[in-house]
Amino acid sequence: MGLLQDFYKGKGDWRILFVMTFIVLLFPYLVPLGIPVPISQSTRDFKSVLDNIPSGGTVMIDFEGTPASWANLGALTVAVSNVCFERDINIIYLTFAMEAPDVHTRIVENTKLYDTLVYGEDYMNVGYVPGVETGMASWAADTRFISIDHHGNDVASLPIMKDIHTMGDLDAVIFVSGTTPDPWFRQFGPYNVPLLSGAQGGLVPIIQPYYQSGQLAAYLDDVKGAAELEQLSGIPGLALSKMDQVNLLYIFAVLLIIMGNLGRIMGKEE
Amino acid sequence: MSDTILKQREIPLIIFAVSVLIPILGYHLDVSLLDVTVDTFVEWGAYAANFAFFVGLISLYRSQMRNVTRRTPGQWQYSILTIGIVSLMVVVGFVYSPGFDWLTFNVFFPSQQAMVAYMGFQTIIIIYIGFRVKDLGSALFTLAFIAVTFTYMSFLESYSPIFQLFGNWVNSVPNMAGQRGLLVGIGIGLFSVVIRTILGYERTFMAGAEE
Repeated sequence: MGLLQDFYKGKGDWRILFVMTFIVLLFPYLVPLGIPVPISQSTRDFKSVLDNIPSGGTVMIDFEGTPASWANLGALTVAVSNVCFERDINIIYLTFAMEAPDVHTRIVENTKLYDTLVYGEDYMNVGYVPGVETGMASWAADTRFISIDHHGNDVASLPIMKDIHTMGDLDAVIFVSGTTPDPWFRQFGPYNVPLLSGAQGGLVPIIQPYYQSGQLAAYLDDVKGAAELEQLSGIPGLALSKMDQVNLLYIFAVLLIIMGNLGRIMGKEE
Repeated sequence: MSDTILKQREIPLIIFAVSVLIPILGYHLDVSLLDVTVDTFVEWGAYAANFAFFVGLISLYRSQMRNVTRRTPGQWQYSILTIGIVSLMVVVGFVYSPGFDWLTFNVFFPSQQAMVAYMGFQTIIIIYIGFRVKDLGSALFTLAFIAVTFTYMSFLESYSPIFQLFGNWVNSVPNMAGQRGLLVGIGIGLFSVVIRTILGYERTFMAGAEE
């Protein structure tokens, strides 16, 4: 209890907490726990939208993360990409964030069917579209607005873009973001294409009104939602492997709160 | 005479107001010429964003060079590093694309992930310090945090849904109400800014603007 009092008074060595955190994160790697992952309704809706897309259809994945968000949003996008490629759904990757185009390359490389994919037919990487909302509006109105893709190919010549001229020609739009979702609803909403979201955990409360109102067809809740999708689709991947860590980390967070308040109580008693 | 006209404050206000008004009219009116104009405006906006990035790069060089030339204590060494790294990425990006990819995947990616990992440990300290129950408000806040955290513990849900009842209620009722109110407020605020802009009352975008 003296240790808790020390931390309460600010005298404790924070490295002890860091080591405890590191142990909590490392333990599931050494001893996989296989914690069950129940499927939420939003994930079922997400899968349902993808299942309704016919084979050969095309979706757009807008990954707004950065290399820093690879662990959660990257794993989520890989899970979605796996489901799409498994169902022979073509994917157009693009982004309105400067750092993301190279992450697309890594996402595709981590999919199960990567070796069988043909660039330009099964998927393509438009790359960075400048201007945020003006870029969104431009690309939605004319998908050839960016005429050269991230790898220097002529966009109009790629087979995947043959029948895709505006956003309305897509079967779904999936935006994976760690920021407020308003721009996507403002610019993509008028095209009546199912909007799906892969949201960072802290953003889920913000997108839930859109889900309730029907503007958002479905969403995946960070790594948890990605793990649920992997479980539902039968394609285990990065997200399911992290769920043991996620569960233990949240337990540790609750214990930290209890410890912090115990330390405060012990400090007051002195 | 021409100098006097060009210096009129009304000119940028008119340009700004017209730029805002045309897309709004294009959305509500079904006029083909207006649609073409709106599409062109929107494309110009995306091209201007590229120039804005270029201007940002120049500003970065200027501010960092200022630190170097003035030998700002504790800063000028990092400014040299910043200028060097930015220059390297720009040059390699234009001259040798595989080299740029290598730097991106082997230097940039791990650096960003290391930075986020460091923030994670800081978050642990914040959780320990921040959720201390001192009064009713902090107690409710802490309780809500724990309840919402339970909704992310999938093993609890597999045992019994009762653990997540309160957390789901927090997400579905008070959070939803607050978010909807926030969205309405943001919408009204945006609307008032647009009206002020069109009427010329909003001048904050003009450098040295006076009310």
